[in-house]
Amino acid sequence: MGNPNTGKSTIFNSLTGSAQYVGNWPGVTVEKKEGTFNFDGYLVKVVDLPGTYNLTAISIDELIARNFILEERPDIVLQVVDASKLERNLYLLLELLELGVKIVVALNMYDLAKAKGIELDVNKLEEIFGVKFVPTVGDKRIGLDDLKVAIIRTVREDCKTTLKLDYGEEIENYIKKLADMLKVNEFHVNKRWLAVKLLEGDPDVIDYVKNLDNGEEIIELLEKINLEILEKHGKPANLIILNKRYDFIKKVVETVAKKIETEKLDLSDLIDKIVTHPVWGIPIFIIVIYSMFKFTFDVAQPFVDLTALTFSILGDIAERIIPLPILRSFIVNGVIEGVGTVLLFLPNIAFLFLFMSFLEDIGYMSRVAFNFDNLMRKLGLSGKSIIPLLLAMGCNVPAIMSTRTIEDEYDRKITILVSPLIPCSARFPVFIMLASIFFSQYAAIAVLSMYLLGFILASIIATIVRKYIYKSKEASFIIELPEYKIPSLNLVFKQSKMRIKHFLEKVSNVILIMSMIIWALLYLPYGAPIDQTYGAIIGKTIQPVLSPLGYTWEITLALIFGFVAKEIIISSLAIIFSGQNLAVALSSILTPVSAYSLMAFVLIYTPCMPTIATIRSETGDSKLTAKVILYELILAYAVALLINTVGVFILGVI
Amino acid sequence: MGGNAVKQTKIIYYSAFVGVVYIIFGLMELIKFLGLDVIETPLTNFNPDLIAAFSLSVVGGIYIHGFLASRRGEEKSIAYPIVSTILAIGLFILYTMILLANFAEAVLLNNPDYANWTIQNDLRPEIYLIFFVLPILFWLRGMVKEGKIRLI
Repeated sequence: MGNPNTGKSTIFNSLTGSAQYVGNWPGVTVEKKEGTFNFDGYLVKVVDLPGTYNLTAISIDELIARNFILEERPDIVLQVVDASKLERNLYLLLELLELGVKIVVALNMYDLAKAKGIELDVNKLEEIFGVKFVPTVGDKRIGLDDLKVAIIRTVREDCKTTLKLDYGEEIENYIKKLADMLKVNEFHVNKRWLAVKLLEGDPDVIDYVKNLDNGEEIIELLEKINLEILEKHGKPANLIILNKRYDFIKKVVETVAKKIETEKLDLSDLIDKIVTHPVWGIPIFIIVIYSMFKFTFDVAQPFVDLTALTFSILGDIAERIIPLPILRSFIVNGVIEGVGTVLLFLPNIAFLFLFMSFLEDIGYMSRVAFNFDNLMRKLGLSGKSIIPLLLAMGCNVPAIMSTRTIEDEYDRKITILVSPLIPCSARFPVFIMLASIFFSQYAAIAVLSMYLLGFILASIIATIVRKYIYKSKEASFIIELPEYKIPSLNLVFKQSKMRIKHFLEKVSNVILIMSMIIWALLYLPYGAPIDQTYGAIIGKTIQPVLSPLGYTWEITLALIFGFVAKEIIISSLAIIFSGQNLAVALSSILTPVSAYSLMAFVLIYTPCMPTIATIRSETGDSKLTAKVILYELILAYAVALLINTVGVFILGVI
Repeated sequence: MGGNAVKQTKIIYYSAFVGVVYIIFGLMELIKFLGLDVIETPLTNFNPDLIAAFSLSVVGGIYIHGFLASRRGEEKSIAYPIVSTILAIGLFILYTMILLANFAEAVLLNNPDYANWTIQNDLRPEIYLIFFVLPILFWLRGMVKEGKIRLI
C-alpha cells in the first residue's frame, strides 16, 4: 500500500509478473488486486491496494485499503513510498507503525529523487523507524530482488519496530486512559492505535467502540477528553496529533534527506507553467485531443484498408469453398460480415489506445484534470469527477468503478449518472463508420464534436441533478501532479495491448454470438425476403417510435441490438446490408443530418449491458439504474430529434 | 556569461519571429477555411482546416507570449519557447506520419482513392515550419547540455 501515484501497481506488476493497469496519475487502482511470486522457497501472495494518504478512510477506495489491513491481517505490509516526496509519504508509515504491523518500505522512484538533487540516508531512515527501507525504481525493475529479500527476512525474523511516537505527556495520558478501557477487540489491533483513532475522531472506530460492552462509558470519556483538550489548547485533539506527527516527520526528513541546491531549472515545472496556464492550458488540450483523432483516423487508415482487404479475401474464399448455401450465408454474411466489419475498426481503436496510453504515461492526464477543475465545478460537477470522466473515454465500466475515490455520496452518484454520456471506445467505431461515410474530410471534427456534446450534456445533467435532486456542496479536490516522464514505449504498448485484448475478447464472444443471432433473425423464415424476416418484423414494430428521427427499420433493429454492446450496431448493419456496399446502402437511408443525429443517439442512449451491471453493483440501487436507462433513452431521443429538426431547417434555409 | 546573455537575447527575438510566422500560416489556413483566396506558392500548401489553423496560431501565440514575458523579466519565461517547441515537434511528427500513411495508401496499397496523390498534397506547414524551430531546439539542447535545465 501507499499514497496515490507512488508506483504501487508498477511494483506489484514487477514482483508478480502481472499486467495490472498502471497510470502516471492518481486514483488508477480502486480495488484490490492479487498476484504471487516465488522467492527463496517461499510462495508469496501479494495484494495491490488502492492509494491512501492515511488510515482515516473516507472514500470507498481508502476504506478498501484500510479494511484489508485490519480484517485480513497480512503477514507483512509493503509500503511504496515516493522517495522524492518523502515528507508527504511518511505520514502513512507512522500510522502503519502505530497499528503494529510488520512493514518493509520501498523507496520507489529513487532515481527521480537523485535527479532532483535529493540524497537520502537510507541507514538513518532504518535506524529511526526500525524497519527495512529498500531503494527501488519500479518501472526499471531496480531493487526488486533486495525488496524480496527484505520481505522474506522481515516475515521470517519477526522484525517489528519499537518506534513509538510521543504525543506529549498530556495526550499520552489520554491515550493510555482510553486504551485501558478498550477490551480485546475483534480485529486484534493495537489498543493504542484504536485510542489514537478515537482521539482523531475516526467515525468507523467510534462506531465500533460504541458497540463494545463498555462502549457508552468509553464514548463518555472521549467526549470529556475532547472538551478538556479544546478548552486548554483551543484546538481539537486530531489537530494536535496531526501536528505532532508532521513535526516528527519534518525532523526526520531534515535528518535523512539532503537537498543539493542547484540552479538547474526543472523541465517538469517549466512545462507545467504553460500546460496548466489559465490562458494556454485549454488551447493546448484542444490541440492534444485533435491530434489524437487525426492520429486515430489518418495514420491508422492504411491498416484499416489492409484489414478490409483481408476480410474481403476471406469472404471470397468462403464463398468459393462452402457448398451448402445456408452454411455459406451463415459464414459469409453472419460471421465474416458481422464480426469482420467491427474488426475493420480495430486499427483505429488500437491507435486511439496507443495515444491514450502515451498521454497517461507521460503524466498529461493529471494536468487535464487540474485544468478542467474550475470549469467542471461551474458546470455542476465535482473536481474529483474529472478523472472518472477521462477514464470513461476508454471504457465506462472502470470509469464508474473509479468514482469510489469520491468521498461525497451525492457527488459520486452524480458522476455515475453522467459518466455513460462520455463516448467510450465501443461507440468510437460507430462514430468512425458514420463520420467517414457522411463527413469524409471533416470526419475527425464530426467525431470530436461527439466528445464535446457528451461533456456538455454531462455538465447540464449534473447541474440539474445537483440543483434539484442531490443537493450537496461540492467536495474539495486535491490532485498531485506527478512528474512528467519520458514515455516507456514498452509500457505504452503493454497498456494498449491490454485494452486491445479486452476489445478482441468482446468481439470473439459477445459480438460473435450476437452476429449469429442477428444473422438467424434476418435469415428466418427460410427463403423469405429480408424485409419479411423475423428481424425485419421486430425492427418494423419499433420503427414508428423512431420515425420522427428519420430512422428506418434497419437502423431501429441495429439500435435495439446495440443495447448489448455498441459495436453490435455495426455488425447488425453489415449483416442487414450484406452483399451490398455498406457506405452506399447507408447513404440511401440516411442523410448527413440524420446520420449526425444517429451519432448523437448512439452517444447518449443506454450504455452497454456491462455498464448497466456496474452501475447497479456500484450504487446497489436497482431503481437508480432503471432511472439511468430511462433518462438516457429520453435524452437521446430529444437530442436526436433536435438535431434533425434544426439541421433540416438550416439546410432548408440555405 | 556575457556571450550567453547575448545568445539568449538573440534566441528570444528569434522565437518572436518564429511565433509571427506560425501565426501568419495559421491565419492563412483560417482565411482558406472561410472560403477566401490566399496567395499560394508551390511550397505553402494551405488547407481549409480550422483546427490546424488554431493549432498553428496557438504555437505562434505561445512563442510571442514567451518573448513578451522575457521582455518583462518574468521568471522562468523560458518555459514558453520550450512548450511551443514541444508542440511544434508534436505537430511535425503527426503530419509526417499522416504523409507516410497516405504514401502507403498511394504507393504500397495502390488505393484508387489516392491515385492523384503526390507528396506535395501532404507537405503541410506543420512539417516544413519545423526548420524555423530547429535553431530554438538546438539552443534548448545546449542549455540541457550545460546543465541549466534538468531533464525529466
